[in-house]
Amino acid sequence: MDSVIVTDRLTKKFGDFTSVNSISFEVSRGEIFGFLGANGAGKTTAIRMLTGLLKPTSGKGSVAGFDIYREAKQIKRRIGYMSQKFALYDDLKVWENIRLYAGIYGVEKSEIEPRSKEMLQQLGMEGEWESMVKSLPLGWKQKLAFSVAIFHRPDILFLDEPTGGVDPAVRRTFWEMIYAAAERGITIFVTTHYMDEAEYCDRVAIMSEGRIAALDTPYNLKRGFEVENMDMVFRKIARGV
Amino acid sequence: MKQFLTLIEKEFLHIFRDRWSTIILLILPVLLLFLFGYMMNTEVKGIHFVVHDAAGSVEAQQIAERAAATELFIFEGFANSPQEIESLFLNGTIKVAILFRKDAIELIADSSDPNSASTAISYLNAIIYDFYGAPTPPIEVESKLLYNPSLKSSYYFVPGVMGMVLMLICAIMASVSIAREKERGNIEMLLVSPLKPLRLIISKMIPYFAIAVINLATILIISYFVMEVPIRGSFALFLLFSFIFITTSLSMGVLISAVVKSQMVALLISAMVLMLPATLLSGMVFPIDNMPFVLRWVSYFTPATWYISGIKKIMLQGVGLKAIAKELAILASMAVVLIGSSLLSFNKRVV
Repeated sequence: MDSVIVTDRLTKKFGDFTSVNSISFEVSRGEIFGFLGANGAGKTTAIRMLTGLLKPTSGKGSVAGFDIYREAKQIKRRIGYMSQKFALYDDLKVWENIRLYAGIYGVEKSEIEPRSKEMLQQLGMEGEWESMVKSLPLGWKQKLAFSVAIFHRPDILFLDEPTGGVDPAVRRTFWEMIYAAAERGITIFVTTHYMDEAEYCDRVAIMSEGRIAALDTPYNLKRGFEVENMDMVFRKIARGV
Repeated sequence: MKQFLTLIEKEFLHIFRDRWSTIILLILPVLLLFLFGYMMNTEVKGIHFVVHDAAGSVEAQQIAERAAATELFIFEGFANSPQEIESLFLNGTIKVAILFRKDAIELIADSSDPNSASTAISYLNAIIYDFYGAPTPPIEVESKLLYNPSLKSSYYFVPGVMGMVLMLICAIMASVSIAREKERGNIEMLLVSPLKPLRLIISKMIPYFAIAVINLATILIISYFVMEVPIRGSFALFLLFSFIFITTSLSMGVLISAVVKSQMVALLISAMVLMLPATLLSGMVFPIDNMPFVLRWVSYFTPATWYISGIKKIMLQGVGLKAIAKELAILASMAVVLIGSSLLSFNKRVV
């Protein structure tokens, strides 16, 4: 398995504050990689460095084979990104939203329409082609937003707390979609502070005060800390055990 | 390029679908033009006056008639005594009085409004000299009022209102539209996309540029046909200069939106905070040279100041490119600096 994300002592400082402190890890192609930690542990800073939104202070990193310092542009083309803040345009129709994002990512014009129709069919939203996004129920909006984020078939999908503040039913649908995307060969890098979601990941890194405190499969982590679930793993780490 | 056109089209869709804001954006300049137009009218008209002449001479009667015949004065009748004149001044019935004494004519004016008082006095002087036949001075003094011979205040305020209105509208439009995307989370996707921030900014500016040009056209039509302000210089230069100013003002809106997080704050800053320098410090109302040091510098950093100064030259003096080169250069460099700073701030703080 080749590695699509590689970091080596990646660090980001804001003045005196070290948000991400020398983290090193690799993510393999097709993996669902969870990035866990409390608010302020440095998750978002890390994801921003990997998506080319923030320049690291020191250390090395590459995403999809491209250097995060010099090749942010190539990285941006090959990744998808979604956060809880991310939203489609309410005042645009469903197809206008799709066309806009597809156009920005340079999807071939002739491909946009058949691919969008197929996508809506999979979502069970065939009838909503001409609907304004604001008229859709919230759950549909989020499903649609997720599908739009991977419309350009990225190598890696970065999800920054995608399920923050949504209800359990929607969270479940979300994870179903994440699995479906992973099955299509998209590597998933997901940050969350819901420990139950860690169980769904192939491997998780637990961040604490800017460092990676633990990194393994959920199974190995639970066994290593001799606990029953990820929540307890997290608590033990937080207590500094 | 295709990517760019899609973005511009999307921006136009936002504008057209939000009918009410579009209508407001198109009507607001007209309203402001009329509002400021009539508010800032500094022409002196309809000054009430009385005449007192203890002797009851024919001259007094005739001079009163001559004055009342002009647009400037309204004759309130004869006062019986100087005491009555004073009470008329105090209760606000009159602004000017003419007192005929045995050896002289005395003109009295309420100069709590110095502008209209001095205008009224000089007009009355002229009427009286004219009536008696003024003594010929040893040298003839001829005064010529250039560029605005009939001293129409519209000549003075229309360029000012144009500058103010365009600056406010552009700053409001650009800042609110980007702040809205920030607020709703739409901009996230655009920023992580391979889209260059400069393209994003320009694609935002183009549609609002189009609206600002429509605004410019309506303002121009009203000022030319209704308020009768001429454009003596080249129309092409007028357009070029205005387009640059519109770009500067839009960039200002972009910078505001790069710094703030919500539409409300964007609106407050671009409407309220910019309103003050745009109206009071831009040279539209008060001459910049008379301002205290600090305010003068604020006015130098207000784009409208330079636009108003340049556009007056083009419209009233009919000058060419060379005469407004300074204004043009300042506005263009302001635009570059503003867009540059917004880019920096967009790159630094993404969300």
